[in-house]
Amino acid sequence: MTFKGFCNSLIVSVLSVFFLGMGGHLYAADLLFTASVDRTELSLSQTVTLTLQAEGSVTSIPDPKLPDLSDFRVLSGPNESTSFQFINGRISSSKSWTFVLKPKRAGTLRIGTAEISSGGETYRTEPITLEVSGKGSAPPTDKPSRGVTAPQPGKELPELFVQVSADKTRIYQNEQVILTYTIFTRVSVSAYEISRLPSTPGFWTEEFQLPQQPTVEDVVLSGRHYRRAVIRRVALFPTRSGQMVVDPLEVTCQVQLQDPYRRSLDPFDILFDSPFMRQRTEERIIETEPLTLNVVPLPAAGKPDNFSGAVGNFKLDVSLDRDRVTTNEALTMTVRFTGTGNIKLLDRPNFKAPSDFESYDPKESVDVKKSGNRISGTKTYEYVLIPRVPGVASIPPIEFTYFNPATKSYHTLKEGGFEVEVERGADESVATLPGIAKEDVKLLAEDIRYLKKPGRLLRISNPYSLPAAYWITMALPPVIAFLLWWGARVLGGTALQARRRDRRIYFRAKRELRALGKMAADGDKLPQAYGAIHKILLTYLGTKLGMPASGFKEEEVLGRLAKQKLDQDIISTLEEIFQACNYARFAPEGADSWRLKRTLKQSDRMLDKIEESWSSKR
Amino acid sequence: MKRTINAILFLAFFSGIPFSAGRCQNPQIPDWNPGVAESLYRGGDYSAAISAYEEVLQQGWVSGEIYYNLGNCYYKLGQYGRAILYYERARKFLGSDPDLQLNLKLANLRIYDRIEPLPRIFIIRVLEAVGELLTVRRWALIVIISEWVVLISLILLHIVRRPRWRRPLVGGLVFASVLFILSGSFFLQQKIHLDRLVEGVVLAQKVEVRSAPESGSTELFALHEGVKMRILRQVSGWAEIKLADGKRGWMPQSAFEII
Repeated sequence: MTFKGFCNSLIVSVLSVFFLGMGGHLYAADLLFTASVDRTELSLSQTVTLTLQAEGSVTSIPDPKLPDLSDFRVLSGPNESTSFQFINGRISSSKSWTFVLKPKRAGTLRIGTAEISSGGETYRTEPITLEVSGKGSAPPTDKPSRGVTAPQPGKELPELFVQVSADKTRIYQNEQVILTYTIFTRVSVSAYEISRLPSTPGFWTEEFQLPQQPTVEDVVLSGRHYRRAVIRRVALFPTRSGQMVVDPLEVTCQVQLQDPYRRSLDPFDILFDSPFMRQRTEERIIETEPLTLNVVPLPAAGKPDNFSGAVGNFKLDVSLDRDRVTTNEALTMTVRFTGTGNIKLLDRPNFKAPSDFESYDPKESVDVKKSGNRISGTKTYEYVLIPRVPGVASIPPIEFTYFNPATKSYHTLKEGGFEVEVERGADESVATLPGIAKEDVKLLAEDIRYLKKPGRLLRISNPYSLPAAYWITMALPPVIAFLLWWGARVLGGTALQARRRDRRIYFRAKRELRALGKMAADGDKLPQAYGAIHKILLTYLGTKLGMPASGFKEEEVLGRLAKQKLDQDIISTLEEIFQACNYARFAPEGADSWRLKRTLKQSDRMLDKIEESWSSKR
Repeated sequence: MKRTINAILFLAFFSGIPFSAGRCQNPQIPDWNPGVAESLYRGGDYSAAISAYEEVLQQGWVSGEIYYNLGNCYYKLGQYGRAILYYERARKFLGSDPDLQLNLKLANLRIYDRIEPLPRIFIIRVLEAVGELLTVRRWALIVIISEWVVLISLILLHIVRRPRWRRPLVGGLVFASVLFILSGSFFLQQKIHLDRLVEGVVLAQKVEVRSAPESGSTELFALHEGVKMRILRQVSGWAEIKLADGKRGWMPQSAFEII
């Protein structure tokens, strides 16, 4: 073999080992899935252990589909155990599930097949058949009436049984029903243990306290002597209505049996043979029948709006620690519910403190009495109220509604309702006043400003009413204005009209002269502008002198003006202006806009002068 | 010229009336001395000071200052409801007096209820604030003065010819006219508003405000001493009230006093 050949064969063998390993893993995927029981013959009171086991060379084993166990009660299980091995490159794992089963009935019972799926295949177990004999210590299976699982009279009673009795089977929702579990025995029971408590969905449960050692009584049932002991007492409060089933309770008892036939060939046994030694202990499991309770809903008729679900018989007591306080001092109001019923489930009373009081959530305490015939107790609410405002405050009463199953009716209790006298506290501090901003707090430390001098005293009740003098002075100006206007019209006559006309023509002349100033910029219109000035002045003077419109001639106007004894310089200025106007009108060559502006200014000033000398003359 | 002077004298005579009218010079209350009440107040005997001031009111005389002093006395006694009542009465006479405003604010801090006024449009708030700057009488005085200035300048403008004198007259006329229009509207607004406004202050330590004028009706809310409110109407022992925050309801008339 060459080196090359050796290498090839090595690679091949390594690969083949690898693939073989893979192949082993793949090929060994099949499982061994079995079901087994520890015994196939048993009595009703005995249990059987069912074991499902799966083995195989897979890394994980899925959970099986469980067999049909409807004929049995599963006491425990499935209890799972797993083991895993890896030997010489081979994986082997096993998994088992065990169940402790108790048959429900006698006869031939069948445990169905279980299934498990792995690697695309389904594995099934063989069904198992069990023979269950009817003998045993369990109570008979017939259903008792009145909720008592006592065996029917006439039938043979077992030597050991447990029975449950309810004080009534037809109850209202939230009404308490007392269940009593009692063991009856004709054999000697050295110990017992409640091995399974019924789960009670839909009930609120309150267990009674029983003495450590149950008191044992002797009774005679069906002519036989029994010993009886109460092992459990419980109060149930159904939270909904309808047919409700209480599951069975299971008790495991250690029963001591005399075994007179026991003989042993062992010499030591013979030597030490004694009655005591012939006793043996047997474990027996007994259970009650399921108990059906008929829960009736509370009547809708007459149900008050504020009913909150309290059922039983209650008393309400409301007290206040005092009826006189000062502001900011705490008051305590105690609301106490006492009675039998679902005291723990009582709602907080619907109490709203008056707006002047600061109130906090009440302190709540419950005291349930678990001895005696029925569950009773006290529920207390303590409200702390702090009055903030002085005065007489009224604290509203507390209303409480409950349903009494004994009278089958709703009752409303109304207690409390206090009048409290609140005095202003001496130490009323700023902090107690609500809604004050920070800057205002500083302000509060200040004192008010001092008194004022009495001032002028007035004889009025309404400061908004004005004395007559105000109204008179207020009304006078319009009256005077009207009188003046009217008087001037009636009395003043023509003189007033003349003066008004004078004012009108003065303002018109000034306005027209101002309008001409805009024409000065336009060189072509200069002669027309001068003509206009001439005309404006003549019209003004003519009107002022009271001349007819036809007589507005330069010479006539000037002649009349001379008679008015005006200042000489006014007349001469006027003549100057007229001259300038005439030159410009008839010989336009010498006219320019600058000169026009000067003439306009001159004319304007002259108008003012004439107006002033005229008015001062009068 | 003579006519001008005559007119000015005539107007001066009339415009002087408002300053002296409506007042009574030192009323004759023979056995009342303001110093007595003041010394009682200073000595801490506020109840006696109250009765000393009340004596003036009983004789039919009032003044803003007397109300203010009564408010101070009640404040010192811790009766903040009455203190607020008298301060509010004084406010009608004294308007925005700084002493009064401070004391009223302090008294309002001492009461239990905090009433937030409804928010209002900015411009309306400003206008109201301006209107409340002066009392109704002050507004009336400004109206009268501006009115007379308008009248005088109008007359003068008819008499005076000289353009040099006319210019300031026109200026005065325009200014006085604007002033007249403004003060006239504020005066009318305040006068009409305040004449219709009836306000009260709660004096009971606590009063339930109900939805109807009967004691069996629904309790809407409770008010305490010192709350100021508008009285909308009064019906057989009950009054409909409205708070600054817009809440309305009925309360017995015995629980409050009108300002």
